Amino acid sequence: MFARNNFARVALVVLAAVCIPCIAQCSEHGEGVSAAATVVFSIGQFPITDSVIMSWAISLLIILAVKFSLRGEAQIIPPRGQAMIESLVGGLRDIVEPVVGRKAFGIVFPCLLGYFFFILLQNLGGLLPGVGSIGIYSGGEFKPFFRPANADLNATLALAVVAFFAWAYYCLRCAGVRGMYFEIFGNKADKSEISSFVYGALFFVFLGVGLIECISILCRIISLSFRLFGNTFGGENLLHNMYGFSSLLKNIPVVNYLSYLIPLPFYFLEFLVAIIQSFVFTLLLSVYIGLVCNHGDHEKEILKKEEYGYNS
Amino acid sequence: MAISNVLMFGMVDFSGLLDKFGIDWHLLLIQSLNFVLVAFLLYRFGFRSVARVMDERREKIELGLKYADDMKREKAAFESSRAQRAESARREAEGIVKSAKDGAKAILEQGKMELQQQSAGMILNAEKEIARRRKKILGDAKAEIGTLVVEVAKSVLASQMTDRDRNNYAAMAEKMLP
Repeated sequence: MFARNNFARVALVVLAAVCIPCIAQCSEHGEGVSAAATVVFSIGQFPITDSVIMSWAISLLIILAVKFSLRGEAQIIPPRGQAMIESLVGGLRDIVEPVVGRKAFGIVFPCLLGYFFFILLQNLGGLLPGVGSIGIYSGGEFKPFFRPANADLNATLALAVVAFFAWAYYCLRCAGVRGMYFEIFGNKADKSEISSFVYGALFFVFLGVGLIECISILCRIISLSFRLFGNTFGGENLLHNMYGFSSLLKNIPVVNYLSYLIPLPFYFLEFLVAIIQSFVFTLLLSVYIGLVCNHGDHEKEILKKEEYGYNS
Repeated sequence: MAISNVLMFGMVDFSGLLDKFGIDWHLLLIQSLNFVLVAFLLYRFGFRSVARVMDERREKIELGLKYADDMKREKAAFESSRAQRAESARREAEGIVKSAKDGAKAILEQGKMELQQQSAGMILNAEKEIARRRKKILGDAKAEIGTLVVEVAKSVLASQMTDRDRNNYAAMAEKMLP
């Protein structure tokens, strides 16, 4: 046991001794993915970047994959492809429905499904071979043709802006202008429990809280977009650096055969991050909608079911 | 002054940030439209029918489960009523068998009694007939013996006896006979 622990420690030290200088060398050479997407060509005034190309390609793949999985219309006895889509849709529905509330669920779910599948597959697209590595050298600089869409702030910002407008639309549709005003600025104190003076004074407090809430709502665009961008961009950089690191190891005689395996664990990590981030974005949007539209109807129904022993 | 400096510094930094990340409204528009289009197409041609089929299947499953529950209840009720019917039929059959046995026993007893009565009547009649015939035979024998006696006595006494003597002798002979 002691010998095994010592061997592990020595191996760790040797690995660190080899890795740290190599990673440092990678950093000194400035290798890594640029924060801005690379413009590949332009259509009129619209620049088409590598992330836009990737976004279009993955979008096309998603639509075709779903279309071919369903083989036309969905069937009551599902084929394999439909069963897979159904399991994802059903799983997301079970999670999202209690969050957004039954009232809003019907109209919100298509949008949430779109976000989940779009972000998930765009993230997973970043793990495909050739993404970030196929391109041309122009002016001594490498210009890739493909870059994960969510590793471009334009894409994540666009998703967040659309999410913001979707949030506003769904909240207005479910709660109405009055309901939204009450949710943000309304005096939520119980009049029967406090004096009229305090209740009146609380109007100003809630007005101030509402203003802060408005800033918070606007900041959601930044938080949603930067969270997704940061994770995807970080992952892309990690994979890129690990490839750079493995190429440096090729010069070392003993470990050169193992150098190709170095990025492999990080692919699994990025796979996990892709799923988690798509889920986080979708869940956060549903929470934002649920904060305004969900007033505990689901919980009330569960309580009612428990009370009457009814099970639908 | 300080605030304006901070704001300006912030603006410069913010502008630099936009450049650094390559933020461009054209790209924002392209990506937004791309997402909206994909989400719409996915829902219109994929998820809508999947969601509809899932709801339809859930309804069918719920109906199936409800039907199975109803059938289970009906089966239990049917089995209960069948058991009750079987029990009542068993009791009825037992009653019928018992009454049949009782009836058979009664008929047997009655037959036995009738036979006994018939045999008793037959014996009585036979005894009566025997007594009658005996009496008749005795009467006949008496008359015949009396006649014989008279004839014998007549032949013995010839014409010396009167009708009164004859009758006395006949009476004496009758008394002597068993």
